[in-house]
Amino acid sequence: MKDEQHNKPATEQAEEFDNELQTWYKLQAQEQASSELDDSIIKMAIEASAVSNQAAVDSSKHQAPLAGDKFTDNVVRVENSFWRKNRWALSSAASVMLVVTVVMLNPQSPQEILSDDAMPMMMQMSQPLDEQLESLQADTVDVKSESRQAHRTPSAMPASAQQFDGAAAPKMKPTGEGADDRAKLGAEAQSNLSLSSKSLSSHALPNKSVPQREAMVSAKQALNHLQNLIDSKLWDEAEKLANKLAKQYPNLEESEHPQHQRWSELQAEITAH
Amino acid sequence: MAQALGQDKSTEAEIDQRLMLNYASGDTSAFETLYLKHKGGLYRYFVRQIGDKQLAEDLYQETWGRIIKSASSYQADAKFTTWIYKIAHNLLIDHVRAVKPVDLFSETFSEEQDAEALLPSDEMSSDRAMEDSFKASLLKRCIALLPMVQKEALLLNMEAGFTASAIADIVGVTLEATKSRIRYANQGLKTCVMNKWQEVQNER
Repeated sequence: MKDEQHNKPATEQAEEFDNELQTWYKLQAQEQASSELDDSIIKMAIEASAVSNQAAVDSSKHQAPLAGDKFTDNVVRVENSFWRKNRWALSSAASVMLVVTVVMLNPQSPQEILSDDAMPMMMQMSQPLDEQLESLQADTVDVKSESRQAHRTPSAMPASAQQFDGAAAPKMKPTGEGADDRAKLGAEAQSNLSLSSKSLSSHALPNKSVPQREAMVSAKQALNHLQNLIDSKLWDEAEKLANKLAKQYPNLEESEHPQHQRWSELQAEITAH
Repeated sequence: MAQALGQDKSTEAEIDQRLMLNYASGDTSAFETLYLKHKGGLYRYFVRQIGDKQLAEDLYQETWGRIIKSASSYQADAKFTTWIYKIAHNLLIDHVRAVKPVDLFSETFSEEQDAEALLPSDEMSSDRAMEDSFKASLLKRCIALLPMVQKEALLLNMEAGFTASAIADIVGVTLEATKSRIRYANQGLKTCVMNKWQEVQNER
C-alpha cells in the first residue's frame, strides 16, 4: 500500500490523506447505528414502498376512466376553438359593427361629426375677430404697393380695425383719428378695404359667430321662399312668413344688410295686397 | 491494479443503482441490502462531525427518510453514494445554519479520560500495533479539533472513499478549494497526532 502511495504523482497525493492517517483512522472504533434505528428505517422503507404500490394499483384501476376523460377532453380543445382561432378578425368585425350601429342609431351626430363645420367651438373662437380682420386686411394690403405698406405701421393697424368695426356697426360713428388714418390710405386701398369690409359685413358683425353667419344665409333662403310665395300669389302665407322673418331676422331692417333692399321690396309687395 | 480497482468501483456503483431502481419498483430487500452497505459510513459521517450522538442519529434517520421518499424520482445516471452524501451534506448545512454549533468537543473531552486509560504501558511500548491503536485514539481527538470544512472532506474521503473531485461536487466548492482543505487537514492531523504522541512520550 505504501509503495502504491509512493508511486502516485504529487498532484494525486495531494488529493488523498496520508497512509498513516488512513491506517489510524481505520483503527478507531467503528461506530454503527443501533439496531432499533436500523429497524425503524427499514420499516419506514417498507411502508413507503407499500404505499407507492397501493397508489400504483389505484392509478391502474382508474386508468381506463381517465383515458376516457382524456379522450373527452381532446374533443373540446380550447386552442382549436373557432372563437379563439379567429379572435382578432372577430373582435375587429364586432368593433366595426358597434360603430356602425351607433352611427345608425344617431343620424344627427354623424352629420355634425363628418361635416366641415364640426370644428370645436373653442377652435372657432380661438382666433379673435380682430385678428381675423387683421389677417384678412394684411392679405389684402400685401398685394398692394410699397407705399401702402409703409403706412401699415403699428399705429395704423388699430385704425383699420376701427374702420372694419365701423363698417360692421354702422351706428357707431368713426372717430376723427380713424377718419384721418383712412384719409391717409390711397384710393385703391380704400376701395379694396371697403370691398373687404363688404365681404366681411355679412360675416364679421361684431361678436358674430359662425352659426350667425349661417343664419344670414338662411335669411337669404327665407327671402327666396318668400319671393316664391309672392310669385304664387299666396299672400296670406307670404304675410305670415314676412312677420316671422321680421322677428327672426331683425337685421334685415338695417340698411347695411345685403338683403335689406330685397326685403323692403318684398314687404312693399305684401302690404300692397 | 488501479484499473481493476476502478472497475470494482464502477461495478459497485452500478450495483447500487440497480438496487435503488429495484427498490423504487417495490423490492424492499434491495433497500435492505443498500442500507446495510452504506449505513456505517453515513452514520459516522454525522456522528464524527456533529459530536452529539442524538442529533447525529436524527439527521441520519432524516437522510434515509429522504432517500426513501425520493426513490421514485432517482436518476440512474447519478451515482448513488454521491446522491446520498449530497442529501446528508445539505441536511448538515441546514442544521448548522439553523442552530449554531453546539459544543462539538463534548465527546472529545469526555473521551480524554478514556485516552489516559489507553496510554501504553512500558510492557506494550515496543508493540507497534498498540502504538498505532493509541495514535488512532489521538487521531480521533485531533479530528474533533479540525475546522468543519476540513473535517467533512476527511470524513467523505475516509468513510465513502470519495476523490477530491467527488467531494467538491458534494460540498459544492471548487476542486482547488477541496484539495487545499484535504492538504491542510492532512498536515494538521499529522502535526496534532505527533505533538500529542510526543507529549505522552515526554510524560513517561
